[in-house]
Amino acid sequence: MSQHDEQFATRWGILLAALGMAVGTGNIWRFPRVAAANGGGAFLIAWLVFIVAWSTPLVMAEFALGKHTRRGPAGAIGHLIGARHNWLGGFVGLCTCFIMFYYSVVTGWCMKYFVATITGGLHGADAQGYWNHFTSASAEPVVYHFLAMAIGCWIISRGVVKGIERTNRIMVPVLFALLAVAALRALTLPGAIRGLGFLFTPEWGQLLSHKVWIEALSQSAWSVGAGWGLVMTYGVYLKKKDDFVLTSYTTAFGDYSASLLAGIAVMCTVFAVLPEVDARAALGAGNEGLTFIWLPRLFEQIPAGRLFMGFFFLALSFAAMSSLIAMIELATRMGVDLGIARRHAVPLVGVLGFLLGLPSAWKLSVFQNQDWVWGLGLMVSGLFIAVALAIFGTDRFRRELVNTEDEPHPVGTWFTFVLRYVVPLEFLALMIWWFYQSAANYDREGWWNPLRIYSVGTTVVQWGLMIAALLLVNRWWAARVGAKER
Amino acid sequence: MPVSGWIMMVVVLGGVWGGFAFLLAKSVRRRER
Repeated sequence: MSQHDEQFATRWGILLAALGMAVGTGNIWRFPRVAAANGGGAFLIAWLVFIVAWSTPLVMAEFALGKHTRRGPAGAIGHLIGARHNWLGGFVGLCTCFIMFYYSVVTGWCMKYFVATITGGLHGADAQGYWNHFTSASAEPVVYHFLAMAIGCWIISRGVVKGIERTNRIMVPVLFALLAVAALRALTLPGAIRGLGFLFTPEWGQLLSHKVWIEALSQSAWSVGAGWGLVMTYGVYLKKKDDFVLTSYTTAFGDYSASLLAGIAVMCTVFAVLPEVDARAALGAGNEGLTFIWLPRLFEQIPAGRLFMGFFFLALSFAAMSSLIAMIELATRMGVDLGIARRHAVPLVGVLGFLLGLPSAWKLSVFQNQDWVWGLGLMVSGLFIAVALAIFGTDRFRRELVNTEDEPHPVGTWFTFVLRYVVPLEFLALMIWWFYQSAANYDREGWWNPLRIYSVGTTVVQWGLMIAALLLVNRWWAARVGAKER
Repeated sequence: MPVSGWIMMVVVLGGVWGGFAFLLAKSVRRRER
């Protein structure tokens, strides 16, 4: 860490920044749909297992990597296990940068719908037509993508304490309060109990289904943000005396708590207003379909619905922005580690983020492809972190870098077991499952074709190109970040 | 909602929200020391 790097001012600030990073749009628009479609209460049991079997140990490992090496992902891993492995961290960092490009577009959508709610533009409109016009026949997605990136970069340009810490001190408590209000409102609707029934009633037979376990693992991995390199980046700004094991548990439980609040809000609203057949159709309409087409229709039909629609889209905007700023900070950190001054790195990330996000803002199909490729790429990132720890010695990492003298809550050998054996097995299961989904369901004809949206081919080609490029520049990159051969 | 749904709701919400509240309280206490 250069002597100019800031550090988080308080432990509370670290926790809120980590929570802001973790709680994103996936908690609000994906969790309720996936839980309801996979056996309700049975899914929740599987989902709870992965809080310890994937998310929390990876969050701890990331905090330790960032704090110990004082570098972002594309430097930390090279420092830990040697220059020739630096590309592993490069993949982790670049994968999240590619997510940032389209996540800024998503943040823009949420901001647009919040603005449309408070200005009345959405009221009385045909929700399907409004969404179609917004995404395919107007320049607004580009404008809002620019705004999201500009606001995010402005926050990051203010630094760790005045930017990240202060923003999350406001956004995260407000986000939780808005989700709580939305959940309470939904619970008081007549018929809301049907939604609770779908969310919580366990279909025990589903616990024997591998699909339920894979979906629960995917949701936990995507939602908590473990393995993305974001926590590693925030770990760089911890003080030496800052401990992180308790913060890691609190982040994971906070993320899960937000998902449950969103689940209650969305499920109770959907099932209170719609008959069961339509409710299932709404939940089957995908993330964007449920959020931007069905929910505006439903809010129009409940008393004071427009007010609560405003609350809902403000919560969604805050959730997205607090995650986006973590991604911008990661990209900035990668630039700083390469030797670029922070005051230059932030605008550079802003310009690149805006330009490389344009294709996703213009065409929904590009957005869908990028979400598929780099969403799955996060599983690879999780594996690469586990591999890096294995090369270093996973238990040695636990003893020397997690359970330090500053850590009042030492973590047990379960950490070693999960990262050494369970995470690689989970990765294997995830890859087999999602590639099988592509070949058998999403695109049976063109699963091999790199030019198709949800194909295996597009994933392998894009990952392959990134890894090839990283291997080509590995020696140069490792030297720039100061990683040495071991 | 069947009884199993109510039981699951209490267990999951109690475990996750209760766990989060406990960990938050522990974090705050540590901060105060």
